[in-house]
Amino acid sequence: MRKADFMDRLRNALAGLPSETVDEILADFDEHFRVGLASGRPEEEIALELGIPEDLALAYRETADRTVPSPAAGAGPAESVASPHREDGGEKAARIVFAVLALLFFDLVILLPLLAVLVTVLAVLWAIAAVLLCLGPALVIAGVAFSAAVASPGLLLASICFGIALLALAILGILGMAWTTRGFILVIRFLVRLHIRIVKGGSAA
Amino acid sequence: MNIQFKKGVLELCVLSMLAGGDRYGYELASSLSDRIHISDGTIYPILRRLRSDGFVTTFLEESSGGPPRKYYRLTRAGLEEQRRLREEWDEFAASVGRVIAGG
Repeated sequence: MRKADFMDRLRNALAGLPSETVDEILADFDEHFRVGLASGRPEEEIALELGIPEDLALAYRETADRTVPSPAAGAGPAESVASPHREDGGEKAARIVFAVLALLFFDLVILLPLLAVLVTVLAVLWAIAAVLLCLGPALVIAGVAFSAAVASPGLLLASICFGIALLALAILGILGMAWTTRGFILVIRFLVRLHIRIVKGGSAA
Repeated sequence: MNIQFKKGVLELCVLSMLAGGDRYGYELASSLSDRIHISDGTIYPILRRLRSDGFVTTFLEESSGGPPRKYYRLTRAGLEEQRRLREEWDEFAASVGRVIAGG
């Protein structure tokens, strides 16, 4: 494909967008060709590597949909942009439905069980850390009270040491859990944002 | 792969290249398509969208022995967007890495 053919196909595929927009877009590709030719590449190769003009036009239309109508463009051009897109209203709705269904399927089959397991594991680990936290001081107190009753300094020392060890373990565990939970929340936040973006993107495309 | 997702990633690539300095379209297109398997033209609709979102501005500059070229420059908002997208990408890539590793 020669440069002129590429430009013609692109211009045709952009029909319906405001004429200033079309001119700006074509100018960008004209510059691309000029720079490419100046660096010694053949016209056909540049055109081939640019891609399919109709696909590129579609990408521009998606942008135009998202940013209608620009303040510079009057009511006239804006209407002419909107009218060709009325026709793919059904297609658009189908795409949104498809995106939501696919998302739902993925969530139910993969994400939900995975998250359920993760939440359970996190909850169990937190519970263990909490029990250790209570057990440590309890052991120290019990040791002090009991060894005072039977007057055994060895038992006193052992219970205090063991209690402090348990407490340290609990604190370490809680720190680790706080870090893990924070990571988990970050992942959830990312997933929520991804969902919003996919659904929104489906409706914008 | 989800088309929206791919678009977001390419946006991040373009913003990141511009974070290193002003570039013109051909330069961006060829250096990106050299490294990622996309056609050269893909970048132009993205650049236009980035401009309409206020993430980049453009200006013309004469080139030595040739017609003027349209340069793209990252705005402050563009730099913030680049950081935001990068953070999102890093989080995602790290999560995927852990899943792949069998975590």
